[in-house]
Amino acid sequence: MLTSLMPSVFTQAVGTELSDSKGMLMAVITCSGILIVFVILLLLIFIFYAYGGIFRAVTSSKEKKLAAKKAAEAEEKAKQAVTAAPAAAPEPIDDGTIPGEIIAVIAAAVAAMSDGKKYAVKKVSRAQRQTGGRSSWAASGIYENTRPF
Amino acid sequence: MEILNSIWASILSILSDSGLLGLFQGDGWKNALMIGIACFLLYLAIGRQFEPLLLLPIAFGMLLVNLPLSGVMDVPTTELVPLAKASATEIAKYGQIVMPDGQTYVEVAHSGGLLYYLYLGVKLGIYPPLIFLGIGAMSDFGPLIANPKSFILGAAAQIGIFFTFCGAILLGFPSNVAGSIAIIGGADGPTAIYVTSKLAADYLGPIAVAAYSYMALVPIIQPPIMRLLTTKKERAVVMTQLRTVSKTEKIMFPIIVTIVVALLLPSAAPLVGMLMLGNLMRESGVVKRISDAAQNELMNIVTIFLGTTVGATARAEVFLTTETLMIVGLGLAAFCLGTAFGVIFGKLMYIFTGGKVNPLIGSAGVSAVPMAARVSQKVGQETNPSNYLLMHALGPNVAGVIGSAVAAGVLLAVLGR
Repeated sequence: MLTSLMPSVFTQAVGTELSDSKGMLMAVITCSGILIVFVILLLLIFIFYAYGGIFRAVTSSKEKKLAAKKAAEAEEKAKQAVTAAPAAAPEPIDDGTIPGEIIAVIAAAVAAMSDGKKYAVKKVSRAQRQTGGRSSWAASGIYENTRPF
Repeated sequence: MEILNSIWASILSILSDSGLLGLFQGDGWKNALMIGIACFLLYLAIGRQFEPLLLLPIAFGMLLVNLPLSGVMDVPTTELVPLAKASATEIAKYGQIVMPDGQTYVEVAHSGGLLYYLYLGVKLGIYPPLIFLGIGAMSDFGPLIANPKSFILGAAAQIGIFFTFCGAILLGFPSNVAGSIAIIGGADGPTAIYVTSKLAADYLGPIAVAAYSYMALVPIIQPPIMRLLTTKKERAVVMTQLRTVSKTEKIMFPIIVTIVVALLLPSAAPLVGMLMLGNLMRESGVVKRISDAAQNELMNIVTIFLGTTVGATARAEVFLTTETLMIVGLGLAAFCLGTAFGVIFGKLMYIFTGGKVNPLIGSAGVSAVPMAARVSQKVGQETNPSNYLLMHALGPNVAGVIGSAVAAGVLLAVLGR
Protein backbone atom coordinates (compact mmCIF):
# COMPACT_ATOMS: atom_id res chain seq x y z
CA MET A 1 0.00 0.00 0.00
CA LEU A 2 2.70 2.45 1.03
CA THR A 3 4.85 1.66 -1.95
CA SER A 4 1.90 2.31 -4.22
CA LEU A 5 1.65 5.80 -2.75
CA MET A 6 5.24 6.61 -3.66
CA PRO A 7 6.06 7.74 -7.14
CA SER A 8 8.47 5.60 -9.07
CA VAL A 9 11.04 8.38 -8.93
CA PHE A 10 11.32 7.91 -5.18
CA THR A 11 12.20 4.26 -5.48
CA GLN A 12 14.69 5.16 -8.16
CA ALA A 13 16.16 7.94 -6.07
CA VAL A 14 16.63 5.95 -2.89
CA GLY A 15 17.95 3.11 -4.94
CA THR A 16 21.03 3.44 -6.99
CA GLU A 17 19.60 5.50 -9.76
CA LEU A 18 19.82 8.96 -8.21
CA SER A 19 20.87 10.95 -11.22
CA ASP A 20 23.90 13.21 -11.08
CA SER A 21 21.86 16.23 -12.15
CA LYS A 22 19.43 15.77 -9.27
CA GLY A 23 22.22 15.33 -6.77
CA MET A 24 23.91 18.39 -8.16
CA LEU A 25 20.69 20.41 -7.99
CA MET A 26 20.13 19.45 -4.36
CA ALA A 27 23.72 20.18 -3.38
CA VAL A 28 23.80 23.53 -5.18
CA ILE A 29 20.48 24.81 -3.86
CA THR A 30 21.00 23.56 -0.31
CA CYS A 31 24.54 24.88 0.04
CA SER A 32 24.00 28.15 -1.81
CA GLY A 33 20.65 28.75 -0.09
CA ILE A 34 22.00 28.23 3.44
CA LEU A 35 25.10 30.24 2.59
CA ILE A 36 23.19 33.21 1.17
CA VAL A 37 20.70 33.32 4.06
CA PHE A 38 23.53 33.25 6.60
CA VAL A 39 25.69 35.77 4.73
CA ILE A 40 22.86 38.29 4.49
CA LEU A 41 21.78 37.88 8.11
CA LEU A 42 25.39 37.91 9.37
CA LEU A 43 25.90 41.12 7.42
CA LEU A 44 22.85 42.56 9.17
CA ILE A 45 24.27 41.45 12.54
CA PHE A 46 27.53 43.24 11.77
CA ILE A 47 25.70 46.38 10.60
CA PHE A 48 23.43 46.51 13.63
CA TYR A 49 26.23 45.87 16.10
CA ALA A 50 28.19 48.75 14.57
CA TYR A 51 25.02 50.83 14.40
CA GLY A 52 24.12 50.07 18.03
CA GLY A 53 27.67 50.89 19.09
CA ILE A 54 27.52 54.27 17.36
CA PHE A 55 24.18 55.07 18.95
CA ARG A 56 25.35 54.06 22.40
CA ALA A 57 28.51 56.18 21.99
CA VAL A 58 26.45 59.21 20.90
CA THR A 59 23.96 58.70 23.73
CA SER A 60 26.63 58.27 26.39
CA SER A 61 28.49 61.37 25.21
CA LYS A 62 25.22 63.35 25.40
CA GLU A 63 24.56 61.94 28.86
CA LYS A 64 28.06 62.86 29.98
CA LYS A 65 27.61 66.42 28.77
CA LEU A 66 24.26 66.62 30.51
CA ALA A 67 25.73 65.24 33.73
CA ALA A 68 28.61 67.72 33.59
CA LYS A 69 26.13 70.56 33.04
CA LYS A 70 24.02 69.41 35.97
CA ALA A 71 27.08 69.10 38.18
CA ALA A 72 28.14 72.63 37.27
CA GLU A 73 24.65 73.95 38.05
CA ALA A 74 24.60 72.12 41.37
CA GLU A 75 27.99 73.59 42.26
CA GLU A 76 26.71 77.05 41.39
CA LYS A 77 23.62 76.55 43.57
CA ALA A 78 25.75 75.30 46.43
CA LYS A 79 27.87 78.42 46.23
CA GLN A 80 24.74 80.60 46.29
CA ALA A 81 23.40 78.64 49.25
CA VAL A 82 26.58 79.29 51.24
CA THR A 83 26.27 83.04 50.68
CA ALA A 84 22.51 83.12 51.40
CA ALA A 85 21.10 83.00 54.88
CA PRO A 86 20.67 79.48 56.13
CA ALA A 87 17.02 78.45 55.74
CA ALA A 88 15.21 75.82 57.67
CA ALA A 89 15.45 72.41 55.98
CA PRO A 90 12.15 71.58 54.23
CA GLU A 91 10.18 68.80 55.72
CA PRO A 92 10.55 65.60 53.64
CA ILE A 93 7.44 64.96 51.59
CA ASP A 94 7.72 61.18 51.74
CA ASP A 95 8.98 58.47 54.04
CA GLY A 96 12.12 58.00 51.96
CA THR A 97 10.95 54.88 50.15
CA ILE A 98 9.48 56.58 47.08
CA PRO A 99 11.98 57.31 44.28
CA GLY A 100 12.46 60.95 43.24
CA GLU A 101 11.28 60.22 39.71
CA ILE A 102 7.90 59.06 41.03
CA ILE A 103 7.50 62.26 43.08
CA ALA A 104 8.47 64.29 40.00
CA VAL A 105 5.86 62.47 37.92
CA ILE A 106 3.18 63.03 40.58
CA ALA A 107 4.08 66.75 40.76
CA ALA A 108 3.96 66.99 36.96
CA ALA A 109 0.55 65.29 36.91
CA VAL A 110 -0.77 67.72 39.54
CA ALA A 111 0.62 70.67 37.54
CA ALA A 112 -0.99 69.35 34.36
CA MET A 113 -4.39 69.19 36.05
CA SER A 114 -4.15 72.54 37.84
CA ASP A 115 -5.46 74.90 35.11
CA GLY A 116 -2.67 77.42 35.64
CA LYS A 117 -3.02 77.63 39.44
CA LYS A 118 0.11 76.95 41.45
CA TYR A 119 0.11 73.98 43.77
CA ALA A 120 2.83 72.51 45.94
CA VAL A 121 3.10 68.80 46.67
CA LYS A 122 3.55 68.62 50.44
CA LYS A 123 3.13 64.96 51.17
CA VAL A 124 3.36 61.78 49.12
CA SER A 125 2.59 58.49 50.76
CA ARG A 126 2.27 55.00 49.34
CA ALA A 127 -1.37 53.94 49.17
CA GLN A 128 -0.57 50.27 48.90
CA ARG A 129 2.71 48.49 49.44
CA GLN A 130 4.27 46.70 46.49
CA THR A 131 3.60 43.01 46.62
CA GLY A 132 6.89 42.07 44.98
CA GLY A 133 7.53 40.98 41.42
CA ARG A 134 7.98 43.43 38.58
CA SER A 135 7.90 47.18 39.23
CA SER A 136 5.26 49.28 37.52
CA TRP A 137 7.99 50.78 35.29
CA ALA A 138 9.19 47.34 34.18
CA ALA A 139 5.62 46.12 33.71
CA SER A 140 4.84 49.22 31.66
CA GLY A 141 7.93 48.63 29.50
CA ILE A 142 7.01 45.01 28.87
CA TYR A 143 3.43 45.98 28.09
CA GLU A 144 4.58 48.61 25.61
CA ASN A 145 6.94 46.20 23.84
CA THR A 146 4.51 43.31 23.64
CA ARG A 147 1.39 45.37 22.98
CA PRO A 148 1.05 44.43 19.29
CA PHE A 149 1.15 40.74 20.11
CA MET B 1 -52.92 13.82 -12.73
CA GLU B 2 -51.35 15.77 -15.55
CA ILE B 3 -50.59 18.55 -13.15
CA LEU B 4 -48.85 16.14 -10.78
CA ASN B 5 -46.75 14.77 -13.63
CA SER B 6 -45.76 18.29 -14.61
CA ILE B 7 -44.76 19.12 -11.05
CA TRP B 8 -42.76 15.88 -10.81
CA ALA B 9 -41.07 16.62 -14.13
CA SER B 10 -40.18 20.12 -12.90
CA ILE B 11 -38.74 18.71 -9.70
CA LEU B 12 -36.67 16.17 -11.63
CA SER B 13 -35.47 18.91 -13.97
CA ILE B 14 -34.41 21.11 -11.06
CA LEU B 15 -32.69 18.15 -9.39
CA SER B 16 -30.84 17.19 -12.57
CA ASP B 17 -29.58 20.78 -12.90
CA SER B 18 -28.64 21.03 -9.22
CA GLY B 19 -25.28 20.45 -7.66
CA LEU B 20 -26.75 17.72 -5.47
CA LEU B 21 -26.76 15.28 -8.36
CA GLY B 22 -23.15 16.20 -9.11
CA LEU B 23 -22.12 14.70 -5.76
CA PHE B 24 -23.34 11.27 -6.89
CA GLN B 25 -22.00 11.26 -10.43
CA GLY B 26 -18.52 10.27 -11.58
CA ASP B 27 -15.91 11.72 -9.21
CA GLY B 28 -18.58 13.52 -7.21
CA TRP B 29 -17.61 11.51 -4.11
CA LYS B 30 -14.31 13.40 -4.12
CA ASN B 31 -16.20 16.67 -3.82
CA ALA B 32 -18.24 15.20 -0.98
CA LEU B 33 -15.02 14.18 0.77
CA MET B 34 -13.57 17.66 0.28
CA ILE B 35 -16.74 19.19 1.74
CA GLY B 36 -16.19 16.92 4.75
CA ILE B 37 -12.56 18.09 5.05
CA ALA B 38 -13.68 21.73 4.74
CA CYS B 39 -16.21 21.21 7.52
CA PHE B 40 -13.52 19.59 9.69
CA LEU B 41 -11.23 22.59 9.11
CA LEU B 42 -14.13 24.90 9.99
CA TYR B 43 -14.52 22.96 13.23
CA LEU B 44 -10.79 23.37 13.96
CA ALA B 45 -11.04 27.11 13.26
CA ILE B 46 -14.23 27.73 15.25
CA GLY B 47 -14.31 24.95 17.84
CA ARG B 48 -10.59 24.71 18.56
CA GLN B 49 -9.62 28.23 17.45
CA PHE B 50 -6.62 27.03 15.40
CA GLU B 51 -5.47 30.13 13.49
CA PRO B 52 -9.15 31.05 13.00
CA LEU B 53 -8.42 34.29 11.17
CA LEU B 54 -7.01 32.34 8.24
CA LEU B 55 -8.29 28.82 8.65
CA LEU B 56 -11.92 29.95 8.63
CA PRO B 57 -11.82 31.75 5.25
CA ILE B 58 -9.56 29.02 3.80
CA ALA B 59 -11.96 26.30 4.88
CA PHE B 60 -14.96 28.21 3.57
CA GLY B 61 -13.25 28.84 0.23
CA MET B 62 -12.56 25.10 0.07
CA LEU B 63 -16.21 24.40 0.81
CA LEU B 64 -17.48 26.79 -1.87
CA VAL B 65 -15.23 25.51 -4.64
CA ASN B 66 -16.12 21.89 -4.01
CA LEU B 67 -19.87 22.39 -4.19
CA PRO B 68 -20.69 21.10 -7.69
CA LEU B 69 -21.73 23.76 -10.19
CA SER B 70 -21.01 26.63 -7.75
CA GLY B 71 -18.73 28.13 -10.40
CA VAL B 72 -16.97 30.41 -7.89
CA MET B 73 -13.54 29.69 -9.41
CA ASP B 74 -14.62 29.36 -13.05
CA VAL B 75 -12.23 31.00 -15.46
CA PRO B 76 -13.71 33.45 -17.97
CA THR B 77 -14.40 31.74 -21.28
CA THR B 78 -15.62 32.55 -24.76
CA GLU B 79 -18.01 30.47 -26.81
CA LEU B 80 -18.53 30.49 -30.56
CA VAL B 81 -22.27 30.63 -31.16
CA PRO B 82 -23.54 30.22 -34.75
CA LEU B 83 -25.09 33.44 -35.95
CA ALA B 84 -28.46 31.77 -36.38
CA LYS B 85 -28.56 30.73 -32.72
CA ALA B 86 -27.28 34.02 -31.27
CA SER B 87 -29.68 36.56 -29.82
CA ALA B 88 -29.88 40.10 -31.12
CA THR B 89 -28.38 41.40 -27.88
CA GLU B 90 -25.40 39.05 -28.18
CA ILE B 91 -24.83 40.04 -31.80
CA ALA B 92 -24.97 43.72 -30.84
CA LYS B 93 -22.66 43.21 -27.87
CA TYR B 94 -19.99 40.88 -29.25
CA GLY B 95 -20.14 41.41 -33.03
CA GLN B 96 -19.75 38.76 -35.71
CA ILE B 97 -16.70 36.85 -36.85
CA VAL B 98 -16.29 34.76 -39.95
CA MET B 99 -14.35 31.57 -39.37
CA PRO B 100 -12.12 29.84 -41.97
CA ASP B 101 -14.95 27.36 -42.63
CA GLY B 102 -16.99 30.25 -44.04
CA GLN B 103 -19.55 30.17 -41.22
CA THR B 104 -20.39 33.32 -39.25
CA TYR B 105 -20.27 33.12 -35.48
CA VAL B 106 -20.74 35.35 -32.52
CA GLU B 107 -17.98 35.06 -29.87
CA VAL B 108 -19.95 35.20 -26.64
CA ALA B 109 -17.91 35.90 -23.50
CA HIS B 110 -18.77 34.27 -20.17
CA SER B 111 -17.53 35.94 -17.00
CA GLY B 112 -15.43 34.00 -14.48
CA GLY B 113 -16.47 33.20 -10.91
CA LEU B 114 -16.14 35.73 -8.12
CA LEU B 115 -13.23 33.98 -6.43
CA TYR B 116 -11.42 33.64 -9.75
CA TYR B 117 -11.11 37.41 -9.95
CA LEU B 118 -10.17 37.76 -6.28
CA TYR B 119 -7.59 35.00 -6.79
CA LEU B 120 -5.72 37.24 -9.23
CA GLY B 121 -4.35 39.03 -6.16
CA VAL B 122 -2.67 35.76 -5.16
CA LYS B 123 -1.66 34.78 -8.68
CA LEU B 124 -0.04 38.14 -9.34
CA GLY B 125 1.71 38.11 -5.96
CA ILE B 126 -0.18 41.11 -4.54
CA TYR B 127 -1.79 39.83 -1.32
CA PRO B 128 1.23 38.31 0.48
CA PRO B 129 3.30 41.52 0.34
CA LEU B 130 0.24 43.46 1.56
CA ILE B 131 -0.03 41.05 4.49
CA PHE B 132 3.65 41.69 5.14
CA LEU B 133 2.89 45.43 5.20
CA GLY B 134 0.44 44.81 8.02
CA ILE B 135 2.81 42.47 9.86
CA GLY B 136 5.54 45.13 9.63
CA ALA B 137 3.17 47.74 11.05
CA MET B 138 2.40 45.40 13.97
CA SER B 139 5.97 44.28 14.68
CA ASP B 140 8.39 45.73 17.17
CA PHE B 141 11.95 45.07 16.04
CA GLY B 142 13.32 46.56 19.29
CA PRO B 143 14.37 43.19 20.78
CA LEU B 144 16.20 42.33 17.55
CA ILE B 145 17.98 45.70 17.42
CA ALA B 146 18.94 45.36 21.09
CA ASN B 147 20.37 41.90 20.47
CA PRO B 148 21.42 41.55 16.79
CA LYS B 149 22.81 38.06 17.50
CA SER B 150 19.18 36.96 17.18
CA PHE B 151 19.60 37.14 13.40
CA ILE B 152 21.70 33.94 13.62
CA LEU B 153 18.76 32.07 15.12
CA GLY B 154 16.46 33.50 12.46
CA ALA B 155 18.85 32.17 9.80
CA ALA B 156 19.39 28.79 11.51
CA ALA B 157 15.69 28.05 11.55
CA GLN B 158 15.62 28.37 7.75
CA ILE B 159 18.05 25.45 7.29
CA GLY B 160 15.11 23.06 7.49
CA ILE B 161 13.74 24.62 4.29
CA PHE B 162 16.75 23.56 2.26
CA PHE B 163 16.95 20.04 3.69
CA THR B 164 13.25 19.58 2.96
CA PHE B 165 13.92 20.73 -0.58
CA CYS B 166 16.26 17.74 -0.92
CA GLY B 167 13.60 15.45 0.55
CA ALA B 168 11.01 16.70 -1.93
CA ILE B 169 13.39 16.18 -4.85
CA LEU B 170 14.08 12.64 -3.63
CA LEU B 171 10.34 11.99 -3.50
CA GLY B 172 10.14 12.88 -7.16
CA PHE B 173 8.77 16.42 -7.12
CA PRO B 174 10.04 18.82 -9.79
CA SER B 175 12.44 21.43 -8.41
CA ASN B 176 9.91 24.30 -8.55
CA VAL B 177 7.34 22.30 -6.56
CA ALA B 178 10.05 21.08 -4.16
CA GLY B 179 10.99 24.71 -3.46
CA SER B 180 7.36 25.61 -2.78
CA ILE B 181 6.92 22.66 -0.40
CA ALA B 182 10.18 23.40 1.39
CA ILE B 183 9.20 26.99 2.19
CA ILE B 184 6.50 25.60 4.53
CA GLY B 185 9.43 25.15 6.94
CA GLY B 186 9.65 28.92 7.24
CA ALA B 187 6.34 28.76 9.15
CA ASP B 188 5.25 31.88 7.37
CA GLY B 189 1.94 31.56 5.51
CA PRO B 190 2.19 34.64 3.26
CA THR B 191 5.76 33.72 2.25
CA ALA B 192 4.70 30.16 1.41
CA ILE B 193 1.80 31.47 -0.69
CA TYR B 194 3.99 34.05 -2.42
CA VAL B 195 6.67 31.52 -3.37
CA THR B 196 4.14 28.90 -4.46
CA SER B 197 2.16 31.38 -6.55
CA LYS B 198 5.38 32.20 -8.41
CA LEU B 199 6.85 28.70 -8.68
CA ALA B 200 4.02 26.16 -8.66
CA ALA B 201 0.59 27.81 -8.59
CA ASP B 202 -1.19 24.46 -9.10
CA TYR B 203 -0.01 23.33 -5.66
CA LEU B 204 -1.21 26.42 -3.82
CA GLY B 205 -4.13 24.69 -2.08
CA PRO B 206 -2.32 21.83 -0.34
CA ILE B 207 0.76 23.94 0.43
CA ALA B 208 -1.24 26.79 1.96
CA VAL B 209 -3.39 24.43 4.01
CA ALA B 210 -0.27 22.58 5.25
CA ALA B 211 1.56 25.85 6.05
CA TYR B 212 -1.30 27.34 8.04
CA SER B 213 -2.09 24.05 9.77
CA TYR B 214 1.47 23.76 11.05
CA MET B 215 1.50 27.41 12.09
CA ALA B 216 -1.60 26.68 14.13
CA LEU B 217 0.05 23.59 15.59
CA VAL B 218 3.21 25.39 16.76
CA PRO B 219 2.34 24.91 20.46
CA ILE B 220 1.94 21.18 19.88
CA ILE B 221 4.81 20.46 17.46
CA GLN B 222 7.61 22.56 18.94
CA PRO B 223 7.75 21.78 22.70
CA PRO B 224 8.72 18.06 22.39
CA ILE B 225 11.58 18.97 20.00
CA MET B 226 12.71 21.76 22.33
CA ARG B 227 12.70 19.47 25.37
CA LEU B 228 14.46 16.71 23.46
CA LEU B 229 17.34 18.91 22.38
CA THR B 230 17.96 20.82 25.61
CA THR B 231 18.91 19.96 29.16
CA LYS B 232 17.02 21.18 32.21
CA LYS B 233 19.98 23.39 33.09
CA GLU B 234 19.92 25.04 29.66
CA ARG B 235 16.16 25.60 29.79
CA ALA B 236 16.48 27.30 33.16
CA VAL B 237 18.89 30.00 31.96
CA VAL B 238 17.65 33.49 32.83
CA MET B 239 18.79 35.99 30.25
CA THR B 240 19.88 39.52 31.13
CA GLN B 241 17.57 42.42 30.38
CA LEU B 242 17.82 43.88 26.89
CA ARG B 243 19.11 47.41 26.44
CA THR B 244 16.72 50.22 25.65
CA VAL B 245 16.50 50.98 21.94
CA SER B 246 16.10 54.61 20.89
CA LYS B 247 13.41 55.80 18.51
CA THR B 248 16.02 56.84 15.95
CA GLU B 249 17.45 53.31 15.92
CA LYS B 250 13.99 51.88 15.36
CA ILE B 251 13.37 54.30 12.49
CA MET B 252 16.72 53.56 10.83
CA PHE B 253 16.29 49.77 11.11
CA PRO B 254 13.70 49.22 8.34
CA ILE B 255 15.54 51.56 6.00
CA ILE B 256 18.87 49.78 6.47
CA VAL B 257 17.38 46.27 6.23
CA THR B 258 15.54 47.18 3.03
CA ILE B 259 18.65 48.62 1.40
CA VAL B 260 20.88 45.69 2.39
CA VAL B 261 18.45 42.88 1.54
CA ALA B 262 17.06 44.39 -1.67
CA LEU B 263 20.54 45.17 -2.96
CA LEU B 264 21.90 41.71 -2.21
CA LEU B 265 18.78 39.72 -3.07
CA PRO B 266 16.39 41.71 -5.29
CA SER B 267 13.89 38.84 -5.48
CA ALA B 268 13.20 39.26 -1.74
CA ALA B 269 12.46 42.98 -2.18
CA PRO B 270 8.62 42.73 -2.45
CA LEU B 271 8.28 40.84 0.84
CA VAL B 272 11.06 42.49 2.84
CA GLY B 273 10.31 45.91 1.34
CA MET B 274 6.64 45.83 2.35
CA LEU B 275 7.48 44.40 5.79
CA MET B 276 9.89 47.23 6.40
CA LEU B 277 7.58 49.88 4.94
CA GLY B 278 4.91 48.81 7.43
CA ASN B 279 7.44 48.96 10.25
CA LEU B 280 8.71 52.38 9.19
CA MET B 281 5.15 53.70 9.18
CA ARG B 282 4.75 52.40 12.74
CA GLU B 283 8.06 53.60 14.14
CA SER B 284 8.18 57.00 12.44
CA GLY B 285 5.02 58.00 14.30
CA VAL B 286 4.14 60.56 11.62
CA VAL B 287 1.60 58.48 9.68
CA LYS B 288 -0.38 57.00 12.53
CA ARG B 289 -3.59 56.79 10.48
CA ILE B 290 -1.91 54.85 7.68
CA SER B 291 -0.13 52.62 10.17
CA ASP B 292 -3.43 51.87 11.90
CA ALA B 293 -5.08 51.16 8.54
CA ALA B 294 -2.29 48.75 7.57
CA GLN B 295 -2.54 46.95 10.92
CA ASN B 296 -6.31 46.69 10.93
CA GLU B 297 -8.51 47.43 7.91
CA LEU B 298 -6.04 46.53 5.14
CA MET B 299 -4.78 43.45 6.97
CA ASN B 300 -8.31 42.23 7.62
CA ILE B 301 -9.54 42.81 4.07
CA VAL B 302 -6.53 41.14 2.48
CA THR B 303 -6.79 38.26 4.95
CA ILE B 304 -10.39 37.62 3.82
CA PHE B 305 -9.44 37.68 0.13
CA LEU B 306 -6.26 35.66 0.60
CA GLY B 307 -7.78 33.01 2.82
CA THR B 308 -10.92 32.48 0.77
CA THR B 309 -9.20 32.34 -2.60
CA VAL B 310 -6.37 30.12 -1.39
CA GLY B 311 -8.97 27.76 0.05
CA ALA B 312 -10.76 27.84 -3.28
CA THR B 313 -7.67 26.46 -5.01
CA ALA B 314 -8.16 23.20 -3.08
CA ARG B 315 -10.38 21.54 -5.65
CA ALA B 316 -10.96 17.81 -5.18
CA GLU B 317 -9.06 16.77 -8.30
CA VAL B 318 -6.00 18.74 -7.13
CA PHE B 319 -6.22 18.12 -3.40
CA LEU B 320 -7.10 14.44 -3.16
CA THR B 321 -3.86 13.02 -4.47
CA THR B 322 -0.99 11.11 -2.96
CA GLU B 323 1.12 14.21 -3.62
CA THR B 324 -0.98 16.11 -1.05
CA LEU B 325 -0.15 13.48 1.56
CA MET B 326 3.53 13.83 0.70
CA ILE B 327 3.29 17.63 0.88
CA VAL B 328 1.70 17.41 4.33
CA GLY B 329 4.46 15.01 5.46
CA LEU B 330 7.26 17.08 3.97
CA GLY B 331 5.80 20.26 5.46
CA LEU B 332 5.86 18.68 8.90
CA ALA B 333 9.46 17.57 8.35
CA ALA B 334 10.42 21.09 7.24
CA PHE B 335 8.80 22.61 10.29
CA CYS B 336 10.41 20.15 12.72
CA LEU B 337 13.82 20.59 11.10
CA GLY B 338 13.52 24.39 11.28
CA THR B 339 12.66 24.19 14.98
CA ALA B 340 15.48 21.72 15.65
CA PHE B 341 18.13 23.79 13.86
CA GLY B 342 16.98 26.91 15.70
CA VAL B 343 17.36 25.15 19.06
CA ILE B 344 20.72 23.62 18.04
CA PHE B 345 22.10 27.05 17.14
CA GLY B 346 20.64 28.33 20.41
CA LYS B 347 22.68 25.65 22.17
CA LEU B 348 25.78 26.77 20.29
CA MET B 349 25.14 30.33 21.44
CA TYR B 350 24.65 29.00 24.98
CA ILE B 351 28.08 27.37 24.80
CA PHE B 352 29.91 30.30 23.16
CA THR B 353 28.43 32.90 25.53
CA GLY B 354 29.27 30.83 28.61
CA GLY B 355 25.64 30.01 29.42
CA LYS B 356 24.14 33.47 28.96
CA VAL B 357 21.72 32.49 26.16
CA ASN B 358 18.75 30.21 26.77
CA PRO B 359 18.64 27.79 23.77
CA LEU B 360 14.85 27.75 23.89
CA ILE B 361 14.72 31.12 22.13
CA GLY B 362 16.20 29.42 19.04
CA SER B 363 12.93 27.68 18.23
CA ALA B 364 11.30 31.09 17.78
CA GLY B 365 13.43 31.57 14.66
CA VAL B 366 10.71 29.89 12.61
CA SER B 367 8.69 33.11 12.11
CA ALA B 368 5.11 32.25 13.22
CA VAL B 369 4.97 35.57 15.07
CA PRO B 370 4.27 35.69 17.98
CA MET B 371 3.18 32.11 18.64
CA ALA B 372 6.71 30.66 18.43
CA ALA B 373 8.02 33.27 20.91
CA ARG B 374 5.18 32.44 23.28
CA VAL B 375 6.08 28.76 23.07
CA SER B 376 9.69 29.58 24.05
CA GLN B 377 8.35 31.56 27.00
CA LYS B 378 5.99 28.75 28.04
CA VAL B 379 8.57 25.95 27.83
CA GLY B 380 11.10 28.12 29.68
CA GLN B 381 8.63 28.74 32.49
CA GLU B 382 7.97 25.02 32.86
CA THR B 383 11.53 24.70 34.15
CA ASN B 384 11.85 28.06 35.84
CA PRO B 385 8.49 29.74 36.58
CA SER B 386 10.14 33.12 37.23
CA ASN B 387 11.88 33.11 33.84
CA TYR B 388 10.61 35.64 31.34
CA LEU B 389 11.91 34.74 27.86
CA LEU B 390 9.24 36.40 25.70
CA MET B 391 11.17 39.58 24.88
CA HIS B 392 14.35 37.59 24.18
CA ALA B 393 12.45 35.17 21.92
CA LEU B 394 10.80 37.97 19.98
CA GLY B 395 14.23 38.89 18.56
CA PRO B 396 14.74 35.54 16.76
CA ASN B 397 11.02 35.49 15.97
CA VAL B 398 11.07 38.69 13.92
CA ALA B 399 14.51 37.74 12.57
CA GLY B 400 12.80 34.57 11.34
CA VAL B 401 10.31 36.66 9.35
CA ILE B 402 13.21 38.42 7.63
CA GLY B 403 15.09 35.10 7.30
CA SER B 404 12.16 33.31 5.67
CA ALA B 405 11.68 36.23 3.25
CA VAL B 406 15.38 35.99 2.36
CA ALA B 407 15.11 32.19 1.93
CA ALA B 408 12.06 32.78 -0.29
CA GLY B 409 14.11 35.24 -2.32
CA VAL B 410 16.86 32.63 -2.74
CA LEU B 411 14.38 29.98 -3.94
CA LEU B 412 12.73 32.43 -6.34
CA ALA B 413 16.08 33.59 -7.67
CA VAL B 414 17.36 30.06 -8.27
CA LEU B 415 14.19 28.19 -9.25
CA GLY B 416 12.09 30.95 -10.76
CA ARG B 417 14.24 31.40 -13.84
